[in-house]
Amino acid sequence: MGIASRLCDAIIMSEEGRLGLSGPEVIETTCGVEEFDSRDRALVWRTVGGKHRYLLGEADALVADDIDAFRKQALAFLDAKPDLSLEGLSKEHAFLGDRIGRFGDCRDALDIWRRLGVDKPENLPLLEAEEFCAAVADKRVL
Amino acid sequence: MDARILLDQLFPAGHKIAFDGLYFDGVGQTPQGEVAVIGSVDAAPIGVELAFRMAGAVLEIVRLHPGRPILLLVDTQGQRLSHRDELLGINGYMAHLAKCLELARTSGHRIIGLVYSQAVSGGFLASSLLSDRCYALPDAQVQVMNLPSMSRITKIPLERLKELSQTSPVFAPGVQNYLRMGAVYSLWEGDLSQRLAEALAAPDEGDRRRKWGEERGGRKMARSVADRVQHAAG
Repeated sequence: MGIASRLCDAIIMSEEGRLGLSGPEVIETTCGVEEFDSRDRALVWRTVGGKHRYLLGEADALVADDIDAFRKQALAFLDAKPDLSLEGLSKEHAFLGDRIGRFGDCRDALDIWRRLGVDKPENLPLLEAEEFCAAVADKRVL
Repeated sequence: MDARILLDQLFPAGHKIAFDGLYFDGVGQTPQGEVAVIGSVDAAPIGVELAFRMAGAVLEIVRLHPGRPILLLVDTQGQRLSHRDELLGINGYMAHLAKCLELARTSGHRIIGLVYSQAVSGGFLASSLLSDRCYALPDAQVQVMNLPSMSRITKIPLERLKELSQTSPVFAPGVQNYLRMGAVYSLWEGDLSQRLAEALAAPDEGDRRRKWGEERGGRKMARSVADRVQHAAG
């Protein structure tokens, strides 16, 4: 479903939401706990959770874990129209290629956040959604 | 089957294919004209780089060779299972590949998939399964997910899953099941260049997999449920 989600017009996440392809449990079962420890909640959240996805530009909005917040944001995205033309997808291609070039050697989300210019990356998981969005407004990849 | 032997059999009139690690692409000659080829070897795990590269190849074909048919020869054990690929958003790269293939289709490129060895999970979903018609060689292996992982996620004991996979086409490995479900249209036997010529000449009927799955008894409900949803929405 991670692929289907990224075929949607817009993605709204909360920090607790998880968006990826293979779940940490599957990776751990297949490749061992050294590869991905599915019981390390902090690691799971900063890898596939909403804040990291928002920073990478994989999610379009990050909201509090609250149904009204989701609803409000969903209404704001009703007219979102992705550009699926050759030109639009060429841009997306450049965007994704740039990500591999900039962060391909990072071992942890904290490395990526630091490279994005976030001052104290270890503090990001502590912030409420609104504070977080304000703190990273000029840092996230667009 | 080895990819190089396969290419010789598919394109007896010649082909120019460049191999680079697990990836290859290029052009094959057929009586119906040139066919673009994109593929992978050695049951490649499809990670962000490989998905990105395949998507780039599709975009280039659309840009430089309008209308040229695309043959996908993807041999994959599935998406690369790694913390790093998840960290970089591998699902976004897979979705990007899917979008590029759809762009090619709507821009007038025929897309033919041939599973010549292995096709598993996300690596199959975002490649051959998105072709107009997906074909397979008789000894190919198609699988939705490996059973130990499925057992971990569903919390159904592995022994029970092995038992079920003997009778349920939905998650049993092997190509016959995917044939019955309609995801694979037919098996290519005999002269492969002839099979390719037939596939290139086949009419574009849109996505008929639900219908095939129902007719073949491997996917009994999907068509009728989808029709009811469509009717309710209309």
